[in-house]
Amino acid sequence: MMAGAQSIQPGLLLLSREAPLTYARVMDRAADDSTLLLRYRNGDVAAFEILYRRHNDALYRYLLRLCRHRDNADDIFQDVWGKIIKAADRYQPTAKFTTFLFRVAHNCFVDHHRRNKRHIHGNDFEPDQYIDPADLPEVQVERSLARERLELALRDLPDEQRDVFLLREEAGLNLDEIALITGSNRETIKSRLRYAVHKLRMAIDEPAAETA
Amino acid sequence: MTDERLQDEAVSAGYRRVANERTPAHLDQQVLRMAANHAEHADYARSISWTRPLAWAATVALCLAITLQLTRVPAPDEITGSPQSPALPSADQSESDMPAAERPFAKQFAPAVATPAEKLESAAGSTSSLHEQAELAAPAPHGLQDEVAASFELKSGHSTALRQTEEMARLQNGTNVEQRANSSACPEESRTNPESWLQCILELEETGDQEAAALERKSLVAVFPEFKLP
Repeated sequence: MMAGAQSIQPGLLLLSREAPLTYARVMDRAADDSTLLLRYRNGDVAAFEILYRRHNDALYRYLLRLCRHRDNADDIFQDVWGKIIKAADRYQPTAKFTTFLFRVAHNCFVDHHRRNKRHIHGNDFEPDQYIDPADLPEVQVERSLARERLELALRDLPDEQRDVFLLREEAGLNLDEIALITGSNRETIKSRLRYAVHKLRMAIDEPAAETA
Repeated sequence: MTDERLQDEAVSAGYRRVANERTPAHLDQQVLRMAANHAEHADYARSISWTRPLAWAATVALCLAITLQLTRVPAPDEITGSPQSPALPSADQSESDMPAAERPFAKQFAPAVATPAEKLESAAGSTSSLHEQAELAAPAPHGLQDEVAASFELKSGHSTALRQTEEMARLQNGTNVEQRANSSACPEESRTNPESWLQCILELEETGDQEAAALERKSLVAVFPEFKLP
């Protein structure tokens, strides 16, 4: 029973998480997102709700980890969707909606960061703890520690590297799209992502060294 | 290094285990309410979108109408009628071609033809003002009549008005004489023949009403010019 539970653990984790499936759907239905926004422009509020439900959690996590403040993330989140709603009247589906959405979010974060640079101190949010009831207590503790280490490593990343990593993970964007959003060239984005992944990998693989 | 190699599966999986936050419900409600309000406002804006081109069209039409109306208003020199205007000599010529006695009557019974004098009347106020001036000039001495006529001529700058004033005054003079004759002391039945009319005049002279008697004599001569007064 224990072995069976352990064998299905990764699968359960993946299936119990909506995010990877959501990313896949977003990638597959990029045109559908544009269609939904065009439908909303013509007065279909239900279309907007579908579009919102597809992207709201990914956008919220992106902003939450980028800002490291729940209140700021909430403000920027509302600001981003307000701009998307207003921009729907003149929206032209020339690019993926995800690119458009996260570009607006990135710009809102930059503006907010510039305005409130002196008032941002440290980190005021703790990540929600996901505990799989099928895990053994030892496994739960080990995973919890791994999550904490990853969270700390992610928090310690420079803003630019964290931004690139989050855009990659949450929005599922490629290097060119991230370069378009951040206004940097592709090689810079590639370098930032490599550094970010390397640091996070070190945090996961060498917990003893970091704690020491 | 390709994109695939940059994507570390262990890091991605670890991150996905960490990042499981969901959007708070109050944020969902606020955003969806914002979207609904915007859609409602957009619907209203679409429903009245036809008013904007209509307003523009109405404004353009109104401006055109006002412009056309302003261009149709005659110039001030057209109203007063300058002596150099081409219509004026023809009117003067037609008037001078008529017999002198018919001029005022021709003007009176041909009002449809807009002569410069008529334009002048309308510009001065109304035709009644001209008649009032003529009435004032009629009983007045000749000097005053000339003065009125001269002032009128100065005012209008046209000799036709002066001639018209003189004709009107002359007509008014004749009317006054007839009125005085009609209002004489002799009864109407005594005027049927010159003998009874003369008898009435003699009676007036006997009563001392010399002025009335003189007027009656003038009337008798005017009505019966072949009758020889004693």
